[in-house]
Amino acid sequence: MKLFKYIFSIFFILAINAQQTSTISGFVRDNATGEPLSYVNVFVVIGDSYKGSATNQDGYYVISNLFPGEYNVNASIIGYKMTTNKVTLASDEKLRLDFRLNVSALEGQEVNVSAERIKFQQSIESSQISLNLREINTVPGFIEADVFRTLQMLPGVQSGGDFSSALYVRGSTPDQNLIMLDGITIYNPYHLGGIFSTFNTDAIKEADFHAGGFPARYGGRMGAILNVINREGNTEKITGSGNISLVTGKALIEGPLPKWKGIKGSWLLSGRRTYFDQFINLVTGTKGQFPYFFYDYQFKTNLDINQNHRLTYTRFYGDDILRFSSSDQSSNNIGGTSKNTYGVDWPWGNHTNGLTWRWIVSPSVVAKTFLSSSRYRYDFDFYFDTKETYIDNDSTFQNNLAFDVVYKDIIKDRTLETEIIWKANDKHTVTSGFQIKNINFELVNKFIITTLDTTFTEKPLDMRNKTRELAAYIQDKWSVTNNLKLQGGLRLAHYNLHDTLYVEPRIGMKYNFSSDMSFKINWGRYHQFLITANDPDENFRLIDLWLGVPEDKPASVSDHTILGFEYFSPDDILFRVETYYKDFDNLLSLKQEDVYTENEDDVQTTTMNEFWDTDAYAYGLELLAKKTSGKIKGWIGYTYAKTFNYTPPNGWYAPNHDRTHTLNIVSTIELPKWVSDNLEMNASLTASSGNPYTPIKGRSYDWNQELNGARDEDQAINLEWKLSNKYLVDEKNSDRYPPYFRFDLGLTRKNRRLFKWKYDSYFQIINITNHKNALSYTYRTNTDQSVGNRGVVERAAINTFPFMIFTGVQFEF
Amino acid sequence: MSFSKYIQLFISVYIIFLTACEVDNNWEKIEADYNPELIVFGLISLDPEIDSFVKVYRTLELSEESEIVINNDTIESDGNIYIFSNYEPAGLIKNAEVSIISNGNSIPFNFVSSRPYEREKNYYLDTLGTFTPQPGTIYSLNVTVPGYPSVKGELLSPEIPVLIDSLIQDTISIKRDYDIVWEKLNNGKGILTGRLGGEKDGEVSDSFIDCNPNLDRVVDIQDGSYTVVAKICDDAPLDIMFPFKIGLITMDDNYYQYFIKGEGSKYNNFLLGSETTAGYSVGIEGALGVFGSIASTMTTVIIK
Repeated sequence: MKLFKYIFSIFFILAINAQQTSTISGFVRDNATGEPLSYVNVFVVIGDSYKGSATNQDGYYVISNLFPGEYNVNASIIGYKMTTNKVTLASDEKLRLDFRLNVSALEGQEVNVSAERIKFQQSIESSQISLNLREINTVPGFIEADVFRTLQMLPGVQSGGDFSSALYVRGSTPDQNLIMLDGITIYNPYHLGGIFSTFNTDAIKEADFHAGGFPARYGGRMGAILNVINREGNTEKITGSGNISLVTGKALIEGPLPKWKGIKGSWLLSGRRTYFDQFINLVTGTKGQFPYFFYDYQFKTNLDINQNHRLTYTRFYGDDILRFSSSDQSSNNIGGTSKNTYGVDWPWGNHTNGLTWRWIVSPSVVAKTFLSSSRYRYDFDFYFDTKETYIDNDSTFQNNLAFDVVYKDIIKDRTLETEIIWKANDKHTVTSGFQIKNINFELVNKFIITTLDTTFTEKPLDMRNKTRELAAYIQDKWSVTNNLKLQGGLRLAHYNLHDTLYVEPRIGMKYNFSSDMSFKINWGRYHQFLITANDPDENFRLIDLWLGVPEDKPASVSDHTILGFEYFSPDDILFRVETYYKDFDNLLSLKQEDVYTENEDDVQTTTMNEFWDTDAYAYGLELLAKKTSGKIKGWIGYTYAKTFNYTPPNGWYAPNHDRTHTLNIVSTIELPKWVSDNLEMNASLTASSGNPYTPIKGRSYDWNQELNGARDEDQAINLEWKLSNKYLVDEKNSDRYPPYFRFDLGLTRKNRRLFKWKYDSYFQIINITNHKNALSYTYRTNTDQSVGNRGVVERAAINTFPFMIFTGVQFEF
Repeated sequence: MSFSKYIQLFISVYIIFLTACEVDNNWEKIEADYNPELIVFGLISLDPEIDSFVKVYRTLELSEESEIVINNDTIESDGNIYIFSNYEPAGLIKNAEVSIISNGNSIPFNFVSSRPYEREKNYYLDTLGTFTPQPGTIYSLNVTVPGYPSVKGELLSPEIPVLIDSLIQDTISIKRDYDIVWEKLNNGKGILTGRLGGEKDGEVSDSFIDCNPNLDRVVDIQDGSYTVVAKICDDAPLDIMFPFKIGLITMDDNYYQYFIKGEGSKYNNFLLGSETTAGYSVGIEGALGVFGSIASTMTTVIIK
């Protein structure tokens, strides 16, 4: 703890005392909506050169070390009209200069905002990509656009199949990814077992994705980082939008807060719900015919107390709910009644709340403090209740028996985090901070049997622990020369169940061969103190079962090494080649067998806290060509990836998510006017190697010992050995499914009007070639009908999405 | 388009969505590069009620049938004729040469064909009746089947357990702790069993959720005793007393590893519709399976 306090104190004092000569700083916003604009180039021209900086994700910029005098300060980004303000700087002046930019497109035209070149120039980190709303919507979605589905089309990111939007990044499994919404951790960011992500795209401003080698400010995970940043809300007027797809209805409304004593702000509320259950209710005229629905809503409000202090409150609630019940009542032959009720009550989802305080301490020092809570709940309850009455000699007797099975996993995460960004001078930007994360886990399986006068509870599984992660970090982004940039960082982490201080160095280097060509190298060490206790071979993952790393197991650790080469062509195409190597140690894989325990009454029992120590490594090569402006936009990505896991019973093997070759093509084409006005075509294509699976190679016999009650007076027991058939499995994951291919196409007719409302209608075709992509195989034994012999084994593929068509309408008001 | 047409379109699209996870109807035979191997289960029983035997099977290719019809039974009832087929495992090996060797004596075991409904008794037995297993003795197994590698196994038979009746209560209650005591042996594992006697087993125990007195417990045989902890349950006490048979089975290490600890690593896939094995053998070379040995004893008390 002393070390944390020491580091924090030093940098806080440094930050407070940082004295700069004249500076210009401020925010750049969209004039129509007030939304902050990131990656805007803000600069002053001094003689033949210019001096400036780019806005960060909050739209904030600082230009420091300016001499007194007159300057023309320009703010420029593709898609907006360049704005120039003339200012006069006095000595040691700290000038606050905010910009509001107007879009350059004419009314009714698409606004093409592109900050790719500035991102390219600014970024030192490898494997980082930011997707704006337009890019997220580029990929024809399954039913509707989804940020995770778009990310799955990037090099290095694999999907777990069409039915899953989970992200497998460079050999890492989804539980190794830190998924955040406005900085708050989301533990199970999916609906419907992964078919949809929880993020409503209408509210998203930007998705910031790090496939690896991420800097010291991020920690607690060793795979990838995804921070989804929601829009702040319109500061000028109340506006709204909606979307009706075949499964969900979405609405978003936003507007300014009333101004009061100089305090101003904005708010945004968006929500989504499946409506199939309501539709069925409507059609059938009865309630509860369709037992499932999901919903989510997000609320965000910003309060600018003054120009240096802002409070932001973010709330996200999303749940899947499967609920049904049934009952029947009958009369028995002695005049009584018998009533049976059974059902399932199964909600699962995330609830988060976050409060952020942003304090501009000085033009060059910005402090942000987050206080957040995130709760993930999975609460399965199956119940059966029978009530019987008997009438005997004019007396009524009652007999009740209720049976309840509960399976629940609850995570409560409370986090306090402070981050201080100090632009020390033109060459150094120092970011430091600390994080305290308290997490309570509860994983329970219990059976409750209730009779008329007694209740019996059995808990085969009851795992609870409270963990605390403490972390402090510092990183410096150093422009050594015009061509050489370095980023060094150190993150120290402590996990309360371990008596160890985990040290995580992170380094990055970027060398610019020219203004549009660079070489990058990143290396970092990452620890993780959370695991999921899911069966590695489960056929279908509906939920994640999270646990803290047990006391007797070391923290999982991974080292990332990434080399990259980037070229930004004059016609705005980003070319990127990256190669990586990731080494994993101390991974934990749930043991799948019945674990023998002599301390239990049962001879064998299945446990949720028995793990194989697992090692892994992954390497690969990724190619990306991304075009973000012009009539044709999109990207082509190719991934060559190999991942290997090691567990004692299986040796080295390729895990289920390993795909060696993957080609992704994503494009948006504005069709020429002679085809149709305001018609846009989206297309995405994926071709990849098949995923590994464990084949069966034969059939074997086995004997199971059975201890039965003795039939014979002199016999203690009746000991028998029953013959059983079993499939003989080959080496783990030693075969692969056939190659995967999918081509999706979408058409969007834009800017149509119905009364005063503007709307877009879209039409999407999934798997246009109706290619059969095997998700898994199902097996059967066939009987020879002619002689009656049993048992030739056959298999058939369970395929993923067939040819499907979806349509929907998106409107604004 | 009329509203009803919209509804039809809507429902059609939904049907497409709901059938998205389709099972391809093209069933195919599975090709696997695999040569069948032998599976042997040899048991040396020191319990006079249980025969010593050796079962010899082979694994099957996926393209093979697993159950072969050996004959059909015809039953006439109410003027209707019903035909029932009797099956035999396709992997059953009947032409093996099997012998058990101890102290230089080799005793041949010969195949005994079972009746159809006793398929568990398709095995090799000492048909001459000369084989009398002894405790603490090393036994070797030899199995030879044409076309397969020869199979060898070895074990050390366990000691015969002895329950000490004088230290076990004559009458026990499920709601009170009671001790089971036996003569200490050097090492090894045993299984303590307890069952309501004769016909009462099942009839009584099945009607009690919490107070089921049945007992199956793995114990360290050198401990010499085990305390059965009272069960806290609300069932009414038994109003009559039943015989309760307590048994103790000792076993050699092979048997313990194979039947009690089990194979361990498994591959779970509910789409297979069957359990899986990676191929497991204990105490045996040249084949899958186990060569193990047991001994047992019993005593009867009264439970109430």
